[in-house]
Amino acid sequence: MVIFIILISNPGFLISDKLINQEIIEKQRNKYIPPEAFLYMAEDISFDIWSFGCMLIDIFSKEQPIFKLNLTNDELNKLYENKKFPYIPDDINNLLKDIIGKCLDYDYMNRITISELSENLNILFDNISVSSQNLGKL
Amino acid sequence: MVEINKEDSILNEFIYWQEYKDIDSFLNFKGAMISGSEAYLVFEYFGFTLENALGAVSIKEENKIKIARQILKILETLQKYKKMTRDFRPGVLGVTDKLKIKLIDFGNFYYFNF
Repeated sequence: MVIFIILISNPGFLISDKLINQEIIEKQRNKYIPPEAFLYMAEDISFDIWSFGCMLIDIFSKEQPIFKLNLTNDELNKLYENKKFPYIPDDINNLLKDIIGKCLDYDYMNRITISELSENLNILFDNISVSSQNLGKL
Repeated sequence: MVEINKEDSILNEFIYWQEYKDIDSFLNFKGAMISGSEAYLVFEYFGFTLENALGAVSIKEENKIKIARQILKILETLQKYKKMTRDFRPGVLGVTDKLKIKLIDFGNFYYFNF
């Protein structure tokens, strides 16, 4: 069966990059999945929390975002085995860096839970908003 | 209009979109049509992904927080429904010009029961 997706307002555009090139998508996906999934195909409730930690780096650091890193699976494999990916840049606020580090705990059993994450991050964001501080380098 | 090769994947997506069509953090699913051997899924329109936005423009600090809060909300919703996307990245998050963020891809959706 051939299946199509259409969009209401403009059928010529994609709603997701998923459909462009499966190989590229897999390469992008691999940079956001936790090490236990990449190395051992193990999955845990904290899977997406790791990915969220990666996205916080993309949003708040001025360094090259993770999706722009050109890494082969072999290179990623080595980085994960040596617990060196992703790097949390120094231009991120230390409090936020600490929360990101808890999302990116290599031991998924110790990874921050969604309730802890919500509480910590909302408190941080509320304080930052009030004080007009910058989540980049202070 | 885009051809999809993974039939199972897209049929699963259809089920998920139908189930979660009223959730604000997820792309609004309008409906589906089957015509002969072809199936069509119809969604609200999102022109950009977060990957497009982060790669193209400089975002103000207050807007970065706004974006992060919305992604957190999506994550909270996923966990509330005991779902994980297994593919949570800027390329699967749609962004409007008013910085509304929504999950636009359920491709690797999975129910967890830990």
